[in-house]
Amino acid sequence: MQPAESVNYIPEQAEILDTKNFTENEKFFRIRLKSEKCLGHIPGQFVELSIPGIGEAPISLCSSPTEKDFFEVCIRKTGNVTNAIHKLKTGDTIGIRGPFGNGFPVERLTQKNIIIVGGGLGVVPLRSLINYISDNRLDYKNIYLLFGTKTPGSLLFYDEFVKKADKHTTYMNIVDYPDKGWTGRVGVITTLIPEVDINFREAYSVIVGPPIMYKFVIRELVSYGMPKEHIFLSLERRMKCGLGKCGHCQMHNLFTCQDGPVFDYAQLENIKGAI
Amino acid sequence: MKYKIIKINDFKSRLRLLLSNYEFWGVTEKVKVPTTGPKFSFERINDIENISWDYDFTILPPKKILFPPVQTLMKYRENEYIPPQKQYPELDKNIIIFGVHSYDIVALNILDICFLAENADPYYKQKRDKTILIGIEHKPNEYNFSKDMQTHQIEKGFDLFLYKINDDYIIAVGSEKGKIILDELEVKEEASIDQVFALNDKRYADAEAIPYKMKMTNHELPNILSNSENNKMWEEINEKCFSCGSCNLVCPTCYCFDVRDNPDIDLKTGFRKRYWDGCMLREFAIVAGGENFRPNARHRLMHRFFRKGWYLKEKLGGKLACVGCGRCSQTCKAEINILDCFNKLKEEYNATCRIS
Ligand SMILES: Cc1cc2nc3c(=O)[nH]c(=O)nc-3n(C[C@H](O)[C@H](O)[C@H](O)COP(=O)(O)OP(=O)(O)OC[C@H]3O[C@@H](n4cnc5c(N)ncnc54)[C@H](O)[C@@H]3O)c2cc1C
Ligand code: SF4
Ligand code: SF4
Ligand code: FES
Repeated sequence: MQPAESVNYIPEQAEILDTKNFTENEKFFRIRLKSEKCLGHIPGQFVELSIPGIGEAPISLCSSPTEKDFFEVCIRKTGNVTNAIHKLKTGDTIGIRGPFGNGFPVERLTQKNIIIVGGGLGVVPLRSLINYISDNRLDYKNIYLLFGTKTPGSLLFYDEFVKKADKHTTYMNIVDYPDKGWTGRVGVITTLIPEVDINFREAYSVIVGPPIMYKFVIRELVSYGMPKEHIFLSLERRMKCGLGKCGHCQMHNLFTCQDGPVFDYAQLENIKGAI
Repeated sequence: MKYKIIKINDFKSRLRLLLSNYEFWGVTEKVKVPTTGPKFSFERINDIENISWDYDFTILPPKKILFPPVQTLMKYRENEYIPPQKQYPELDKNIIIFGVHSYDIVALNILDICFLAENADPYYKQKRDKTILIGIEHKPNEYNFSKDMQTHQIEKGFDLFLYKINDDYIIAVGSEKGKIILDELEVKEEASIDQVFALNDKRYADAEAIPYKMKMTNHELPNILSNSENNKMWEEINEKCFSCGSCNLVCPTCYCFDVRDNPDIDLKTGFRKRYWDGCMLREFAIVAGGENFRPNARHRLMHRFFRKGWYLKEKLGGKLACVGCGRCSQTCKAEINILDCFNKLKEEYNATCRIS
């Protein structure tokens, strides 16, 4: 006799279809459930990836749900689980639980101008949204992609985004430390915002990046008149279950794994330590 | 509510009947401490003689029975994950937790909401569905403020509740499961209306005899806490706290856990288990890159106290997560007393309100 719902904690087996080394520390994986079921996620949701004997790590989905035969993730090496995942090759097996979390508000963004701001690895979950928008392009208005990274080399998915860009998509990037060949912008990401020429009061924004970035980007957007309720951000917290149980991801009454990871700024404004 | 009545001695001798058919947990003397008196613990009971009928509180709350300190979630073999066939040895037996105080019953009702209301936790549910709670009365010890938290006397949440009146137990029957136990024990006599009224008078008098310890009602607590952010008390206890997490372990409504893999020596098979964890421990909220969202004891104490007296109110349908058992205050080596802290915040709140 076993609890029927134990599936909550029990990973499903999945096969790695393809991998790509993006940088020394960031590796890309295309994965399919062995059951061949479609994962059925919303952009901005995450999965728990599992390596038996090592453990689990929460990882954002970076492919659009319009891709039904597989899903993709991009993983930075930071410790035990992420190191073990990096060792996996095409054809290897990995455990999956999820998808978890609320995801980006794709419905609320329809027929809006959207400013998408990504810092560092934040571009990874944003890619699922960007690809989703481009697959449903007529449902959205002008898109502004603003990306900031430390160095030109850590700019992920650059070619892909540029290839997809249309007349109504503006792509801008900026780096902290230029290298020899770099002819683009240098500086902090907030300096890109004044270049966006739209009615901020009606526009929406989706931001993902390191904690330090949020404060400055939000301040800038608000100063141009964007309502706090229109500013969405995805938070990272320690997570052990994804089910609203283990308590690690709790801030005030919110469980980041279930109520988030995507919140609007009005929800977080008065939560000390949230951003 | 139905009430049955039975002579105390008869009840005790019949209770034996339950030992072999149930996984029977009761309170027993764990260690004798000459200076402070014995310490008590919920343990498996094999002999009715070992039950302590009159204890002040147990070191660990009965959550340890339904949510054990270490619990196997699954076995893995290569890439296969196998749900546990057996969570505990006598899977088919129902569990009786006997002699639970009212505040601990409320705490278990709170864990029920946390574990079962959404995304039901299969491991907790499996045990909880088989569990019968039998409550007994208690007198609050010096740390206990259950009266203030309105958990000192309860009218629901148990299967049976025993009240002592002279030589009799009057037993409140809280559920069908409870009724079945009384049938098994052949406790048939219904308490008369006079007996139940006499019991209610006695309960009222018992409650009256206990002083209030909190300088506000529990309903005021969320507001006091939400206005306390800049209070200097947090700095004072920040200095004292060792971040040892003992207060988390003993709290009947702390249920955070960590998940870790335990490989066998062949490295191919092993078990994924969950372990009690505590938000007071330094590394509890660290994420990749080393960012710690609650870096100081101060942040962690605020998180814990606010979780107990404010944050979970909505989730718990208006109740607060602290049941006033006083275990955390009693166990804290730094002598941080949660009741004193609540009171201090209330005093300062009053003081600032007077000024402004
Ligand atoms: C919603 C969400 C989405 C994420 N998406 C991505 C992604 O798309 N790509 C990516 O590379 N990373 C992502 N991360 C971060 C990733 O989960 C952590 O890097 C990973 O859990 C670290 O595990 P580890 O075993 O490799 O490291 P460990 O050896 O466990 O520790 C390394 C560091 O990570 C911290 N850490 C440990 N466990 C967790 C945890 N469960 N959650 C957060 N931090 C933890 C530790 O405190 C330590 O500082 C995401 C995190 C969250 C919460
Ligand atoms: S409050 Fe006391 S028991 Fe809790 S972590 Fe601090 S020192 Fe330990
Ligand atoms: S916070 Fe302290 S007093 Fe309140 S329930 Fe937990 S251990 Fe008991
Ligand atoms: S990850 Fe466990 S509660 Fe959110």
